Amino acid sequence: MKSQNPSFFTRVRNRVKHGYFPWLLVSPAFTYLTGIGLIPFFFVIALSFMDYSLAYVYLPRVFVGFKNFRMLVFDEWLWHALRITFTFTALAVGLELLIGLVLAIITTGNIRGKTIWRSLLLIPMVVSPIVVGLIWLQMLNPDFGVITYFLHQLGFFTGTGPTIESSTALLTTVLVDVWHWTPFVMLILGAGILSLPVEPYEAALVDGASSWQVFRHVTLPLLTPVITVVLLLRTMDALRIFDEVWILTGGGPGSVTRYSVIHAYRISLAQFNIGYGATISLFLFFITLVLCSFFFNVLRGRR
Amino acid sequence: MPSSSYKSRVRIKSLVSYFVLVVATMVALFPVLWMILMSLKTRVDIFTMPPPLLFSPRLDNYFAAFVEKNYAKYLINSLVVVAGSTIIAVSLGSLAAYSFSRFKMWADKHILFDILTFRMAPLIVFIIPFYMIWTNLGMYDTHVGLIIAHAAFNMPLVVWLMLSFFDGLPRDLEEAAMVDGCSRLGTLFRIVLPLVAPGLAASAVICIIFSWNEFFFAMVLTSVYAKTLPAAITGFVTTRGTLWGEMAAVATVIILPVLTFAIIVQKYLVRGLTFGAIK
Repeated sequence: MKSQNPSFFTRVRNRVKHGYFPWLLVSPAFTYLTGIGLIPFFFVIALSFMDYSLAYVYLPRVFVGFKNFRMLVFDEWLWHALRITFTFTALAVGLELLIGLVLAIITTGNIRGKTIWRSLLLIPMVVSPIVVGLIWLQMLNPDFGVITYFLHQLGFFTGTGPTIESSTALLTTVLVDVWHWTPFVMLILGAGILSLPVEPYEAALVDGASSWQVFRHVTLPLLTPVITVVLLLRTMDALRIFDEVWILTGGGPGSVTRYSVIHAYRISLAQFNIGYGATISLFLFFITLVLCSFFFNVLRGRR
Repeated sequence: MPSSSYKSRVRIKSLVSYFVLVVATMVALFPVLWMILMSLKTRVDIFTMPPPLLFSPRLDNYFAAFVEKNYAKYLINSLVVVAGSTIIAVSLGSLAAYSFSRFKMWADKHILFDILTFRMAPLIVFIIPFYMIWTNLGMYDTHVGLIIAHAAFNMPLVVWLMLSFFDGLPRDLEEAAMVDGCSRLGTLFRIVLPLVAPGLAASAVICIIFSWNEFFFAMVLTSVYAKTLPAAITGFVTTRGTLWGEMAAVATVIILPVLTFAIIVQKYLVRGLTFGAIK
């Protein structure tokens, strides 16, 4: 009999049987990632307890205890940054899921040239984030951007430029993110739909269910695991948005799009307040950690 | 028997589907096409509004960017970094994945969780220590420095992706090979790795795409010598205005290879981008 969780004796026997071969294979990657990942991580933890500024390198690093963490709690800029980051994430990921799901259903449905549509639609996904930022920066330029021009002509928008007006900047970054990542959602959900079993659909057909009922009571429940994966991946990614927004608005105008990573970046590598910047990034890290543990459970469930 | 109203409903539905698809494709493609067109325009044409429908395409921008401004150097940097980091990430990552897939090890779940977290964490966490350590070790602004960073960033993905491929491979073959007197390493290299070649290719492609597109590390860890294309392209945004034509030329060179790649390996993209969670 083989139990799910091998007993201590099985483990010992395995070790004797396999010797150190398993570790021989793991050790290069393990050493590498420990060196590159873990040591810097402890470094960050150490820095978060220090007053250390690259602007005043001649001053020594001082251990200040929990000062940075206390600062974090009362840092209104940070809470503002987190608030708009969550708004951005909710809007962007919500829209992406909605549009992505519709496109996934259409591209897996009864249409001609599925592969061609799908290939064309996934193009935005592989464009480098920095290029995405630059393309949209050009098209949204207040003076000669093609989109600004047509928005002005059609009277949808009367301000200077969508990225410059504080009323539209956040929405603009959301829409650029939606443009960039909806193909990802479509691709994954499409693969999920194609891998669904046929039987429930046949049963629904026999029962005379309408296509909305089929979608609501067959497709959606069966697709939930895939949607969960997409939701987690997209959320973790949206929470750490940097490149596109950095080039598009730089966090502005004012602080309208100063999302959490941009905030942390400005504190640590523009103001050179390394100690406090480290504290903020640790805090952001722990937010991701929670989501990541959900994702880990999904991955482990698949094994 | 389907009634005529049912038929017309189906027809309307498929018409709506095509309409949505056409609109979505236009929205998806327009910015990319716009950029490619811009790279072929002269400065005057770029700034003309409304945009001229017809213009005589020129390759001046490519010449100006890659020859006069020497962006060819950054292109080579990009290629070096992509090649180096992909080789490291795929080789070390897949060996580890094989071990995780086949053997029970001490704390393997924790290790797997930790490396996943490393991949999903905001890079800002690592950028500060990286910057400080790299400058101290003399790795700042070198190819090696950026290769190490990119490989570390991609390796977790390779481990998880290859794990899903190794898990899907029956053990009987390896056992048969070992019974026939093949050594453990021999089994791995002669039997297992050829069988998961598609997986290795998929991992490599995903690594290439990420490394090629990566901006954050490249921006912080390099300055002049080892700059890659995504980090260098922001150099066209100057205080005296942006050189849009040249920028578009470089952007096109960044986009096109990855685009071709992604369309070819579409099948594996799903698996790779979800860390093997969805096949």
